[in-house]
Amino acid sequence: MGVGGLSMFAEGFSQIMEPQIMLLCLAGVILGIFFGASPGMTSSMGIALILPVTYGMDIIHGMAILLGIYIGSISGGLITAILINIPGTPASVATTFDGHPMAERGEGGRAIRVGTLYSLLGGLFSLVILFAISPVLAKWALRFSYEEYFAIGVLSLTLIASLSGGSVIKGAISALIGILFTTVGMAPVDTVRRFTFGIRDLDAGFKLLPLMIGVYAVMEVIKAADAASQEKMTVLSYKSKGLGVSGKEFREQFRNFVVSAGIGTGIGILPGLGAAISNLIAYSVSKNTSKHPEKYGTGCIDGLIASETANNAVSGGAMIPLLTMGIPGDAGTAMLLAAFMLHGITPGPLLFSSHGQVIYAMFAILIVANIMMFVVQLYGLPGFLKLLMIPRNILLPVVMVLASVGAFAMNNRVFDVWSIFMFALVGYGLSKFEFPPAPVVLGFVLGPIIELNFRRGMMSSYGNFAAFFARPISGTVLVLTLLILAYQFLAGFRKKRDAKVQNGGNDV
Amino acid sequence: MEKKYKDIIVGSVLAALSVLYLLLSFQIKLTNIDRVVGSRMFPQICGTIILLLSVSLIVGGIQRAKKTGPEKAGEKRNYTRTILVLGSYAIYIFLMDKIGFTISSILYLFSQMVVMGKWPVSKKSMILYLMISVAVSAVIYVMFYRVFMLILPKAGWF
Repeated sequence: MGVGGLSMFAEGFSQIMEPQIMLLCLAGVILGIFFGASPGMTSSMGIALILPVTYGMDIIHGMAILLGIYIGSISGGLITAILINIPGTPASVATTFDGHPMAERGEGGRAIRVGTLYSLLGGLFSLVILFAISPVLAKWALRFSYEEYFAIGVLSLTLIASLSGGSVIKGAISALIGILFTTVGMAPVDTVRRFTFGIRDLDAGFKLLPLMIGVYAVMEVIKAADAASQEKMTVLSYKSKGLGVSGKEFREQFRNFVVSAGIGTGIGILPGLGAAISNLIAYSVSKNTSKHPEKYGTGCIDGLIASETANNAVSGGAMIPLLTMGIPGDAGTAMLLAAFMLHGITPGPLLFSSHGQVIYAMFAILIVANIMMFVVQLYGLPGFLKLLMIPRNILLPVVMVLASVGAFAMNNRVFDVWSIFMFALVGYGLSKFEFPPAPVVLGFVLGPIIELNFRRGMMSSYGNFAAFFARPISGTVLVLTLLILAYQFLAGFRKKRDAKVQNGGNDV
Repeated sequence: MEKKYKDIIVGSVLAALSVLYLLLSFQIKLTNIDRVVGSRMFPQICGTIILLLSVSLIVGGIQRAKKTGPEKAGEKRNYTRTILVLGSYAIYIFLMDKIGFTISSILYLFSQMVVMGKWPVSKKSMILYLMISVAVSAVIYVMFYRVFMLILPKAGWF
């Protein structure tokens, strides 16, 4: 990074060294840990709920609280995962595998400490990668034209659809439904009205915030209402001291840490995957390469470290495509993208030259937020556990009211609140038929990017689609996309055939 | 609904909706600004892909339904709470526009806590819910309207 890198940090920190910004960041981290620890509430929901509060702030103040939530929420999930055996967010599913057995053995406090320490280390690792790669990538991405953005958009969508879990067809349909919602309103390029049926409110199209709240938050309320018999959560004891790992253990775990952090950061960079998958992949890689795989699942710190390092390492990785290309890596960064737009800033390679100071301030905030997360999570644990005991039938209605206020305040129209309701119906319908919700959100974000760049690219090549393959980067990315699609198709076909052979054509 | 017909049902609904979407897309005006692609093509490409995927969902569903024998009817689910949750939210949005944010929020919070809580609701929790509803609405009003300077839905009252 050299001198340029140092001055970058000096500039970033000088901008955020202000009590108000620090307090906002701290508030964000506390809220984030709470959202992360509350089952059913995720980082993207937390950001969506707090976003309205930032409408009146400048971008750096707003980012302080939003990034605080983003960082806090990924780590907060470990509290419930370890002490109650319920992952607070999908990002901490693998944390329950070894974290909870440790707590059952009476080592809950140690598990929390180890998890929090490696959350911090994983987060910082990914930030180093972010700081090193993003300026270079941004410079490189300056040369990207419509063709490249189109190709990357299509690749992202393909990855999201095929890796969101469950059926690939359903994942793809979810993503396309997200895109269809973006075709309502003014079209890009020629601003023709589409699917507005003469309704003025539809001219501006739907917004991400109502979609997110509708698909995720309302769904949680319905689920909680369905599970009417509210089971009592039992919290295991968590008394402990120190960092939880000795120097010797730290050295033993170093390889595990680096591999898991690398996996997390890499998955963060790939669009659409995110923390929910990283912890499971890191856990299985760690287990498969371990000398004692049989200990995994019985409460060994290796598994805990793999999971908590990887999910927090996603945070820095996911910021890379967001900041350099304006393409969000997961639902949380999609919400951050919406926050940028609200403050009149469009992420992309130009951001580094036009709003360099904002980027440096964000880098500084990310470092501060990670450290705050570590301190707050360790020392505020009893407080968070008390907050978690708030019954869900009291908490979730309050969330709904906050979400509605946020949606309304965006444009001061009740129409946006009604669209929450509509998206809730869509989300409920989709979940009943086992369609994953995440691709809907990312399809909604990527749809306009893909369409706009498709049209501009086609216009500049006078309608020749081959031009998208003629440029080296876009051509490579598109060929890669086709290969993934072909692989998915063949894999599905083979699975069917194998099943037929094995079961004699009876049961699949 | 029997589980094995799930994909066939949802595939048919999606196929029908995508056909409707494709038909409506022909109403989109074409302009001289962009003669190469126009505003129709992208929705039509996406609509067509959804249609194809829905059809493959139906085909896969039929194949599976043929193979599996008759299924025992799944456990009966009670949708009362789901309907109450969605219904009260719709009423909340409607009232927000008519009687303002604060009062509608109190009503919504209270009814929602009752709907989602343990039934039957004891007198003690009723009072608790009511107090929380009023307090939360008041705090949100003060915070958002006074501190963060956001506009809240209002009608003459608050």
